[in-house]
Amino acid sequence: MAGVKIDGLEKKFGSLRVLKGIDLDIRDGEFVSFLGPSGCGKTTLLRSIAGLEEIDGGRVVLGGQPISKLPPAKRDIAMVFQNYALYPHMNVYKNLSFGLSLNGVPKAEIDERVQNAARILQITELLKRRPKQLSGGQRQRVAIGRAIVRDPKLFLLDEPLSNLDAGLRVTMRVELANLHKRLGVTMIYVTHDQVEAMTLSDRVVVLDQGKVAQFGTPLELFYAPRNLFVASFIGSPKMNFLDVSVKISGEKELTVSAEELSGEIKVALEAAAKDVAGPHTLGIRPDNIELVAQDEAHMSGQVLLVERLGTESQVHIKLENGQTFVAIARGTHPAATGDRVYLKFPAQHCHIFNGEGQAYPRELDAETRSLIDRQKSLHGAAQRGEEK
Amino acid sequence: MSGVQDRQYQRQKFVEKLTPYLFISPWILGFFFFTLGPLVFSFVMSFYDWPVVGEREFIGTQNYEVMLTQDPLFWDSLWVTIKFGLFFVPFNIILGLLLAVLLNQKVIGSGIFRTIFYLPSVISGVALVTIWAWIYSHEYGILNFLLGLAGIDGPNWLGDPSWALLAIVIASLWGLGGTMLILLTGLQSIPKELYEAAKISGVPGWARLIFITIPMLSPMLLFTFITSIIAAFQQLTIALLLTGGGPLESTYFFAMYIYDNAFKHFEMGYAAANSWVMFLIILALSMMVMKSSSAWVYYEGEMKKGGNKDA
Repeated sequence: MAGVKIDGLEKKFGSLRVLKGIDLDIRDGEFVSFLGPSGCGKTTLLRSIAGLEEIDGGRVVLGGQPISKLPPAKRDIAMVFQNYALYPHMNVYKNLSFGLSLNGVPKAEIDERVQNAARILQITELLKRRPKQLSGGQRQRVAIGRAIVRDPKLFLLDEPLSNLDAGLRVTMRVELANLHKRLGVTMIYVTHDQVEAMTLSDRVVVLDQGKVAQFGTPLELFYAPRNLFVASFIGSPKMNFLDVSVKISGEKELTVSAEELSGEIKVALEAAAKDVAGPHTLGIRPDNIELVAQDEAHMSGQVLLVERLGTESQVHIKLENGQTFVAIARGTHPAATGDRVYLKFPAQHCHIFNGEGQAYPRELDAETRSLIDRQKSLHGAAQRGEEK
Repeated sequence: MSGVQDRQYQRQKFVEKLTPYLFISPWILGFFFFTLGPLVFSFVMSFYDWPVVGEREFIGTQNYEVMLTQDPLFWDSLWVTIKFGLFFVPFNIILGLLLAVLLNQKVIGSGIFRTIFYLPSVISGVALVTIWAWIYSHEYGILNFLLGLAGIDGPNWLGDPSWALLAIVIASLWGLGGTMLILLTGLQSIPKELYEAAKISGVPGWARLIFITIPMLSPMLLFTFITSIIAAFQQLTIALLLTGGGPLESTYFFAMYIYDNAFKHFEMGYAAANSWVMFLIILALSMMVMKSSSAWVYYEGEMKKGGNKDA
């Protein structure tokens, strides 16, 4: 087992810079997801760690040993591919043992490792079958089994659940979480599905155009996004944004206003804001917008569409400036298309971003703060448990 | 009323069923007149004494009996063809595979090399043979010139019975571009993740070729195996134009034997019987290969009997 340290990793495809100086410090035994939209470089980053892509700068250190110059086989890693990459002409047993037998591992030990992996993944009955004769979930397990038999220091998983149907994906997600707990090995997981990233990970790396936009625990990303990209990428439906300007910059607070807003919004910050001139952006999540009576509201708009999901209603609202906001109201909220509604933005839920799109760290309420802190420490606790 | 409607409906159905056949009718007619017809006709011919001019006479299986028991040329030419096949078939496949693997690498100019290697397959057979005649020429040939530079006294390639067959094998292999192309398309359809997974598992390059590439390529290898066997038995052009069967009948191929019986000795019935024997030999060999294939060919879409689809 070992942590992964990545320093200034650069990767170019021709003249295109795909990874622009990635720095990451992944702890031993941690489950880390690389999350981002397609083309953000997350798979390239994973393949660079695996050694399947040659890097153009920087280095990768695994458990204290620099591995960027080693061939993939010498890196002590295992990788699970998106399309499983099982050898179709070999049965499951051969698929699991193929690499080992060519590396001179004694037969008895191979058998032990294969049987052990099969037991962990509950595929013992399938060892004689060919991949074609397996369901998607079973193939996925075999692919993971091929990683387990290698007993690597680091697991790399490239969108391993994306080929499964929705129900199976949830099941496999839980199994992956359990597997990580059981093996205690460092895992890096690439996904574009934020639900997977949020539920599985100790920490998440959000990538934006080849750069790390934020590296933090799932709740940190959600409640304390560092920039506009993370704020808009994490959470569904997306955060709403409004151009504002700063009226007053207090010691640990910021008061903003905009033409469209009636009244001002005063947001509490962790520290005093610097350089508050110029355009700013206010962000608020759909579930934090309150639909209220006219006299309490910051803004009004016309309902474009109401999507009723049962437990909640997603109300799409056209503002007077032409922008569309989404608010989440209770499932039985009476709003209907064409209605005029009045929106309130509770200050404790507002995010403020400066002209460069960087967030001012806001003061979180005690409950949220303690949740985030707990998530941060959970990993450490699990770690100590493992070491006993 | 309903009777009329019913008849109209039947008519329409008939037309609908007929339409596709009308569309492929040119091909069907061609097949009947130019393929199946001559095939059946030649079978009938093989039981006749059938000179090009003169009386035709039904002689039963006499053509076959003579061929098998009294005509040493039959056995000699068959043996030459088999010897040729034993060299040509494996080299055609192995060299084709190696070339395909090379050309499948991501190197600059691989497209140009692909074209160059395929070029001989496009060139007309006669031009090809003419080029090889120059290459092999005992006195002016470039091959012996080059060998001479290396201090080797080159043999009389086409004039020496112990070298002529080999010379023809080499000239035939010049056209392995087709085999290479088939295997190259096969290689490109193998998912690259299989190799990446193997790389990470520490599987060395030679093992990736043997345990991944070849099994994944096996349907194409089977195809080229069978077509190479057929090509070996049909070998005619190169030998006919390069050596004319000599020296001392060392390159007297089976196809040439048939050709001579038909167009030199004008024994059409006998030549037809020869052809049918060749057909049966190719058929038997192909069937043997096909039969063996279940042991070494892996089909992507295949589901083994008794396999559980989903569990």
